[in-house]
Amino acid sequence: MSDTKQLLERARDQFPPPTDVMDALLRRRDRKRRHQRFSAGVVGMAAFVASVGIVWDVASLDRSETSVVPGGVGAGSDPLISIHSQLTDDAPVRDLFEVETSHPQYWRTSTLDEFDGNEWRTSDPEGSKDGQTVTVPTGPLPQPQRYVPPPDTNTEPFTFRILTDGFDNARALPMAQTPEQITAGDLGDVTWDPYRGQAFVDGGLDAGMQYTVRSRILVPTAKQLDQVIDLSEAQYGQWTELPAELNPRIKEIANEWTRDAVSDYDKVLAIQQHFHADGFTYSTDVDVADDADALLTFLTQTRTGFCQQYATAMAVLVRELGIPARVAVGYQAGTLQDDGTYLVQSTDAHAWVEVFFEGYGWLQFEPTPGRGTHPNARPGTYLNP
Amino acid sequence: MNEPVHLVPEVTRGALGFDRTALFEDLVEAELANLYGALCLITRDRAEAEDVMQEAFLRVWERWDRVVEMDDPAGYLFRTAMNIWRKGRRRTALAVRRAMRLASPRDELAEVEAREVVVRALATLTPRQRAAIVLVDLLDHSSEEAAMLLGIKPPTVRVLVSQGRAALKQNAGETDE
Repeated sequence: MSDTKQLLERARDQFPPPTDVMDALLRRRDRKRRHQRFSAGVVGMAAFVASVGIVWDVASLDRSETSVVPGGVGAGSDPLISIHSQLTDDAPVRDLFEVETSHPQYWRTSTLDEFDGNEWRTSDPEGSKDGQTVTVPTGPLPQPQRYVPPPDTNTEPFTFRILTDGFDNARALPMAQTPEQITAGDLGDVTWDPYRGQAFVDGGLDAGMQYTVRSRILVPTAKQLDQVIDLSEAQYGQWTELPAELNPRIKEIANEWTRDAVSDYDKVLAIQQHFHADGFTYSTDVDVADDADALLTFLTQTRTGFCQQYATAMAVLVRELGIPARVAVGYQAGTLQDDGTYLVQSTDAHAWVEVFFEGYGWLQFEPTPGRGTHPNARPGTYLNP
Repeated sequence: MNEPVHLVPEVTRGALGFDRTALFEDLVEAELANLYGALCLITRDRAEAEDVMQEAFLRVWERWDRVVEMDDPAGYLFRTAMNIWRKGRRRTALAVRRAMRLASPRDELAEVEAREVVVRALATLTPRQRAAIVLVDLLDHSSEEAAMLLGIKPPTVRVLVSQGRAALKQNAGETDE
């Protein structure tokens, strides 16, 4: 350590301080005062920014104790509420991150695995229960025992560059489908939750951070998924749970929509396709109702909403069939830039559904109409059979 | 050193029985080289280091009545400086990236780097690694104190510091006997 200290002292001594500091401080103070006197509006803005900063700091302190906050886990940083605020028209568009890849994907930040009859939430929002510490620069991301990727498939690298500090107020790293390895210069330790597919970085995301995740992007054909045998509820219980008091009409709807489907995959696809037809429309101008029948009202009457309604409704219907499902929250692929990278902005905020298939892991489905197709939905794939 | 320039007229100084302004100037004199040097190593940019340093001193001065009563005014100064640096980084990072998408924005130190291998080695670190190693190894903060200054957890500071040390050893080692 004293080695390093000597090195650093030597380096510091290359930078002798300016000699007229007091003068400079006086000039700076006068400039600041003139500025305050003649631009009250700007000062008002500065004060506003300062107070937001303080609020943010308090919120970040509170976040570690969300479990004791009345109103439930993570009430202050609900990923779905955050999507809506990013998608509404009057919200400022912010550049969030860039991705270097030739295969644009959906970029997942969190998954919601628990439904209380009213809203989806993640049962481990900070990775404190199932999270494992992965020490970067390079760390393998351990996988759940039941995930055995098919032979002859490879992972591919996705390099993320963060452009904005603390977007979403979250610590979760954007990642593609099934992450298996992370390489990063300065993230420190990363907390990886293999069960929920979420990775958290200490201190939050800062502009300038860069990391590379190798993910396995599996896009099986319909035929391949048809051959996946029935998934046992005993093995995937956690991912098929629904509250007992759920309106029985919802299970009836799940059965009606999948009447002609044979395999589990067929059923999931039928639900997705149903949202793409049958008078469902896309709009962010909806009341986010929070009564117990909001889901039923959406499915049978209003049939209008944005990704939040579609993803949460589809995940409930899939679980009603005993098939493991979760809601994924994150961003759509973004916009291809001149330099070949994809720019992801706040307006790309999105939610979709992930369904577990033995041998393939969590595969993505896109129930939301009117937000473009999934980047993997090439003809012949399970998304577009 | 130069003759100190006083911030308030001579006649009001010492009105409270001891000279608060002189105490502030003492703080500037005592911490200037340390703060400016540390900021240069962290930011790798003399102009940015000077800007952050001035703003930090000015904020301390604006709150001097309270700061002078603190056990550790210098600690308050460094906390203020690190806060300004972190917030400023947020504002400037995107503007810089937009302006020069490919070029590195930090080439102004070429001259110093050409003659000083340690400064060159620091260039291979990320801002967070540089900040952590400067706070812990140069300024002798504990990882808990550095964690507070940087708004991250102590274990992260320890990871960043050990990454920084390894890179410094590797890149500056050959000339350091």
